Amino acid sequence: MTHLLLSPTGVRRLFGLAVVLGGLALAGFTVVGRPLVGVSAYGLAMIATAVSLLQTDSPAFDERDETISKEAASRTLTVFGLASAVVFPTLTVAWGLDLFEWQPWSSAIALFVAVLFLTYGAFVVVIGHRR
Amino acid sequence: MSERVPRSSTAQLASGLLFGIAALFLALLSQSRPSVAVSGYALLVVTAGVGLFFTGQESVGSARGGHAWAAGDTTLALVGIASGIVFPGLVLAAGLGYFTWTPLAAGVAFSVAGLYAVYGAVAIGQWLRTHPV
Repeated sequence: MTHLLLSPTGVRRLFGLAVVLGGLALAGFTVVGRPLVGVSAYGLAMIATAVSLLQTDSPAFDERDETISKEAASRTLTVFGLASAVVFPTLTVAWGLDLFEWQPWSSAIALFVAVLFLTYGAFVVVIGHRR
Repeated sequence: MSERVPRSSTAQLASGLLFGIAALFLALLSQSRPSVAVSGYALLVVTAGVGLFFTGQESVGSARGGHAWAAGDTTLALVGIASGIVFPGLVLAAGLGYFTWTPLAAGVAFSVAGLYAVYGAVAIGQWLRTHPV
């Protein structure tokens, strides 16, 4: 039993690194055609994040990180919302003019964006009501 | 100050409705009359935007902004956790031969990847600004 204690900064770095590397490994090995390697790497990375959170006795993420996360989430959704409000009407009109044909992958992206903003709208209503 | 809150929320409601009607208009008319659809869409969206501009400057202000921030964070957390379970599961199933990637599934997977790439870039940018190295 080794009780190696890390500083919150170290935990944050380890956590971020593990999440990014795990995601990249999963995507990369899937594209390359080695899905089982990808899933194993992702599983190891997730174990690493859990272990890294246990290696410190002070909270790893404080209010400042929370504020950054909230601001970043809000900006990301704004960027996606603005881009969608321009791109999807254009595609729909191009489709009406027979300049564009909806493919399964492009409808999948459209559906994903719709679900994303429906979820967001629901949370805005719910959180707004609770306060 | 007190009358500003109902005013901006009414403007938000109205502009939300206008955006919805515009999207519906576009979707329903684009196949039969694309030029009518796009001009109607543009008209409705501009009306909604102008309405928000004149009445709802507070729409991104502190109080509503706080809700929207929390909602955005919760949404991305939810989608992130769901993706963190579903996509490794799909990759595993595909590796074991129980699932084949279709363009539909791949499209959703790439959307999720794009979403979190943007989120990651914005978060790192913010972090670097608040924690000067």
